[in-house]
Amino acid sequence: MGLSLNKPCLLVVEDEELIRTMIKLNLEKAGYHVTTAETGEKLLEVIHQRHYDLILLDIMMPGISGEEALAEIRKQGIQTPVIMVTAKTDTKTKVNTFDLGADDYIAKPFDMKELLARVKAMIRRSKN
Amino acid sequence: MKKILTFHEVFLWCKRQMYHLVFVSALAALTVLVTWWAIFLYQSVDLTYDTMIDGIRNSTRSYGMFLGHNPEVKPKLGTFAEDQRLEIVHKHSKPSVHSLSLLPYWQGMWLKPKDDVVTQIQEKRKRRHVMVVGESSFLLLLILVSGAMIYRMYWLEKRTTQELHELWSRVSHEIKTPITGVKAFLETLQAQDLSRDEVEPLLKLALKQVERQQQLTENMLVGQKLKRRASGVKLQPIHLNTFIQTYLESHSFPDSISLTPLDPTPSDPTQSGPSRRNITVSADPEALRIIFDNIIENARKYGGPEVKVQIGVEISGRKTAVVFQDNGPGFEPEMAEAIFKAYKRLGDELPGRQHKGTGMGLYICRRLAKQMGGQLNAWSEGKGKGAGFVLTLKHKPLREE
Repeated sequence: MGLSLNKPCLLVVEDEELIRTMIKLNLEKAGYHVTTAETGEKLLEVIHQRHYDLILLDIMMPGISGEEALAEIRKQGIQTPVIMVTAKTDTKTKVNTFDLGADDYIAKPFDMKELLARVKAMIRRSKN
Repeated sequence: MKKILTFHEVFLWCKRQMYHLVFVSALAALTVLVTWWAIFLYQSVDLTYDTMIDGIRNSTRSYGMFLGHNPEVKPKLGTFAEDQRLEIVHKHSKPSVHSLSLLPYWQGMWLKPKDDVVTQIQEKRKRRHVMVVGESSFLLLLILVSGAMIYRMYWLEKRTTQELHELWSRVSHEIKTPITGVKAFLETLQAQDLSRDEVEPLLKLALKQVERQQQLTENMLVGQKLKRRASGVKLQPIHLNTFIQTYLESHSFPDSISLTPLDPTPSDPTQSGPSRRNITVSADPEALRIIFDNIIENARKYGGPEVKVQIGVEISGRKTAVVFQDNGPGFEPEMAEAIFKAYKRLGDELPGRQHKGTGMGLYICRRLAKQMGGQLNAWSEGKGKGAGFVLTLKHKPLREE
């Protein structure tokens, strides 16, 4: 972990391997340190292992859903910014995730450039 | 605090329930109308026969007065000649409500309607009553049954619309996910300088996503065809073991999916050893592939990438069974039939699993199995105890072996 002292550390939670790998790869190329988790359960496990600057969270996953995982980490008092990345685009879901404590929302299929821009903006804002 | 409904709220409620209200009112109106009509008919029958009885009674009275006041002609006992419905009887014979004493001159005699005439009228009235009650009950039953059928049709229509809506929501998720992955992969290829070693595993993953998309499209199309009953399977003799081996090889499954060698002790002693190794069934290879794809894909969807699936072949009598047993999460035993319903997905009740899959897979598989003259059933001993599927197929007698 020593090598990532100055790099912002991100956590990508996504059950689809290809999407997870692609996000990780692009974020790493953009200069972030990335940890991944395939499920909501895994997220709740790794969240305590270190400090993260941002979490990218999918909603529809086997086991604990992204919404439930988000509610749980907020309940535990973890205030890390969260961007929801999901195929669900209805207003009800969007509003619900913001109510649960999400900071941004990006719909699948997304443009990688947009995702990187949002991540950058969120990190900048949280640093301030 | 009790909330008082405003006129507007009541109006809105009525508007929402308009179809129900109109339907129930129409049904109630029809029922009342038929009941009223039945009562009316019942009473008219009474009226008709009362009039007939009154007619006889009036005749008795008039003729009785006439005979009783005529001292010159002594009435003859027996049927009264002027009106065949009446008879003259002796005073001591059995009395009748409508009898009239021939006073004042022929005190010992009575004029009365014949018993059988009265009985006949009463029986006729009874028959008419039964007829009216029967007819109107039948009509009421008809109205209620057709009402129930119309309501059922309305309900089914509503459910189908709901299902379609749900299906659309699921399908949109299922379409978006592989597209997201593949798009991200292509964008990355375009923007980043990736080495061959980096691209290789990603290519495999992307290809898997495209295959997933292909399976989804196939399921949707086959599902629609089956719903319209337009599909027809083309049966042909298939060497089951060869088929399974080729299937497993062509799909490059990880070691987790394996073909169990045939049970050395046959369940059916009439089957000899060599023929068991080359079981030929009557099936459609395309349909068989769709069934295999769906069952294995389900096992991996619910049980994760580490799930183990054992595929075995068993023979019993004239049928062959392909048994799929996984060590995944299984399901409640009472769900064994429900999972084959269209749009039903296991895990609907689990929050995280919402909208995974289209819910068409197993429905399609069972329909295909039935069209091939076979069956597809599932079992599980409970949650966490794995799931099993058994596909029964018809034997094809071997000619060349």
